[in-house]
Amino acid sequence: MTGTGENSALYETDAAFLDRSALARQVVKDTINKVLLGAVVILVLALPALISSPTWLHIIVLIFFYAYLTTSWNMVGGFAGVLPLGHAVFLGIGAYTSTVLSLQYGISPWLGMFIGGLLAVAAGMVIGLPTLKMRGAYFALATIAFAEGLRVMVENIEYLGPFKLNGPRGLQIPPLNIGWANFMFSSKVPYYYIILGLLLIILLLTWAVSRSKLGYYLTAGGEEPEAAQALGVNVSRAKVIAMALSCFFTALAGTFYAQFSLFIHPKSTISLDISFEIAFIALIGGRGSIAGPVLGALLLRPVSDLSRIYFGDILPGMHLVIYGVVLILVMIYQPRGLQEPLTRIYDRVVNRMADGFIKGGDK
Amino acid sequence: MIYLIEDTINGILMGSIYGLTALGLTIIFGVLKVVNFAHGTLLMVSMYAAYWTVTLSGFHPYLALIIVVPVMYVFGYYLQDIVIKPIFKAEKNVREPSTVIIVTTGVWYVLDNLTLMIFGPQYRSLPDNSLQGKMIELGDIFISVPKLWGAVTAVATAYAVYYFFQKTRTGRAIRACSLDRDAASLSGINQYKIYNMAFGLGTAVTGIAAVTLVPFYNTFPSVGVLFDIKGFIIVVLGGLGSIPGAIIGGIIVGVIESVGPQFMTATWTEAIVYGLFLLVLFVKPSGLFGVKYDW
Repeated sequence: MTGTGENSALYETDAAFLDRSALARQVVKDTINKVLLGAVVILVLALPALISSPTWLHIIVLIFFYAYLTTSWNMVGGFAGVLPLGHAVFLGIGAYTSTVLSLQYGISPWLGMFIGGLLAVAAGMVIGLPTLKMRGAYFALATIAFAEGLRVMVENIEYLGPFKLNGPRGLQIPPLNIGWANFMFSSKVPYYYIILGLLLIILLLTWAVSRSKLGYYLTAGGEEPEAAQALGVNVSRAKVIAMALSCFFTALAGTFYAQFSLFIHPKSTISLDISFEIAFIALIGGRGSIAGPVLGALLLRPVSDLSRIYFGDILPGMHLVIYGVVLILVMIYQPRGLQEPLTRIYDRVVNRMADGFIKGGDK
Repeated sequence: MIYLIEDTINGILMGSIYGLTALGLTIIFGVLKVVNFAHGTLLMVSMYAAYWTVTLSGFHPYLALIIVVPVMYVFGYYLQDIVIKPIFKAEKNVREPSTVIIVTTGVWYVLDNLTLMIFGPQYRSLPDNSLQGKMIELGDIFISVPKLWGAVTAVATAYAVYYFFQKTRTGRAIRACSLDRDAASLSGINQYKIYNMAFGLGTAVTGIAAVTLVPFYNTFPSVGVLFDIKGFIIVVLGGLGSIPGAIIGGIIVGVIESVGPQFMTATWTEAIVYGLFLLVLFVKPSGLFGVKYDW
C-alpha cells in the first residue's frame, strides 16, 4: 500500500486503530503462551498417570535427571564461560556420601544429600580455586584429570578411614525400608515427582541468578574478562561462587541417582561419559540460557535412548554413530545451540496463531 | 635393583612412544588452539591402517609407514576441511571455540563405533612379525626390541617435525598462523589451508606412532581411549604446543607407569599420573617446556 490521495488520510486516522490492533495481538499472544504453558504444566504433572510402562517412565525420569544436572552445570559452564568436563565427580561425591551415611549410620539420604552437597563444594573449591582463572582448554583438562584421578582412587579404596567404599565393586543399597523418610520407593512415580521438583528448584534458582548481580558479573566475565575486570568486576570471585552453587546442586543429583538405581560404583557415577554428556546437552541445547539445558536433554536423551533400543541388538555401536552425527551436525549448523532457532520457530508459530485468532474474530 | 633399572629403561622406551602418540596432539593444539578429542580415535584408525597394510602385504611392520603416513595425512586434511573448518568460519572471533571439543568428540564416537561395526570388537595383533617378542639381553636386563625401535622412531620424528617447523617455509607459515591468525592472513597466508595442513601433519605423525605400536600392541576399536586422556596429560606436562615437551612428558608418564608397580598396586600409578598432572597445572600451567605468555 502506498500512501497517496485518500489513502494517506485513512492512514492517519488509522494510527490509533493500528496501535489498538497491535495491543490486541499482544494480548492474544500472551493468552496463547499462558494456555500452552498451562498445558505443559498439566501434562508434566499428569504424566505418570498417563504412562503405565515403567520403562518409559524410567527414560523420562532420566531425561529430567539430565536436565537437572545440565542446569546445575550451566551455572558455571554456561554463565561463567568455562568448560568443566568432570562434573560427574560431584555427582559421585553426592552419591557416595549419602549412601555411605545411610548404609553405615542409618542417616536418612535426605540429610546425607546436603552433607554430600557441602563435601562437593569443598572438592569443587580444591579444583576450582587454582584453575578457574585459566583459559578454556586448561580448565577443561584439569577438571577431567581431577574427576578421573578421583575415580581411580575410589576404585582402589576399600575403606576410607571408617567409611566402606568397597572399591570397584561399588555399594548396593538393599531396598528394605521403603518410604519417604528413607528416599526409597518401589514405584518409579515418586522418583518422577522428586526429580521434577528438583528441576523446578534449580530452574528458579538459575532464573534468579541470571537476573542478579552475580549473573551479570558471570556473563561479563565469561565474554570479556579483561573488560569486566577493568570495570571493577571481581570475575574470579563470581566464578568461584557459581562453581560452588553448581557443585552443591550436582551432588544432590548424586543422591537421587543412588536412591533411584540402588547401586552405585565408581564407573557408573564418576564416569567421564556422564561428564561429557552433561556438556553435550548444554552445548546442543544452548549454553548460558535458562531453557537450553532442558531443551538439550529433551532432544538429546531420546536420540541416545531410542537409537539404543532400536539398534542395540542388530548393530551394536550404531546408536553412538547416530549420536555422534547429531552432535557434529548441530555444532556445524547451530554452534550456539538449538535454543535460539527453536525460540524463533515458536515465536513464529505463536504469531501465526495470533493472526489466525484475530482474523477469525473479525469475521 | 636390577628390576628397577630394567623397568626404568622400558619405561623410557614406552614413554617415548607415548610421547610420539601425543606429538600429533600438541601440533594440532599448538596451531589451531583447540583440544582435539578425536586424537585417540585417529590413532586407532592409523593402527587399523597399519595392521591391515602389514597383514595384507606381508611387509616388515615399519614398511607400512609408506602407506599409513600419506593416507593419514589425507584423512586428517579432509577431516579438518569438512568437519572442523565450518566451525572456525562460524566463530571467527572466538579464540578457542569450545564447540570444536564437541565436534571432535562426535568424530570420536562416530569413527570408534563405525570401526566396531565394520571390524568387530576382537583384539587383533600381527600374527608373526619380525619384531614380535624380540628381546635384547644386556647382562640380566631385558629390553624389548619393538619398543626400542619405537623410541628411536619417536625421537627421529620429533627432530624431523621440529626441523620442519623451524626451517621450511610451510613450517614457518604454520607457526605464523599459530601466533596470530589475523596477522598471518594479512601477510597472505591462507589460514584455513594452513589449518588443514597442520591437522594433516598431526594425523600423519599419529600414523607413525601407530606403526610403532602395532608390532607389539593389540588393535581394537576402543584402543584410542587408552591414549586419549594420557595424550592430554603428556602434552600439558610438557607444555601444550611444545615438541620436545611432548616426548619428555611421555617419558615421565612412561617411567611412572613402569616403575610405579614396584612400590604400589599397579592401578594406583594412574592416580599418581593424574595427581602429577594437576600439580604441574597448579604450579606451572605452561608445562615444563611451554611458552609462558600464551596462557
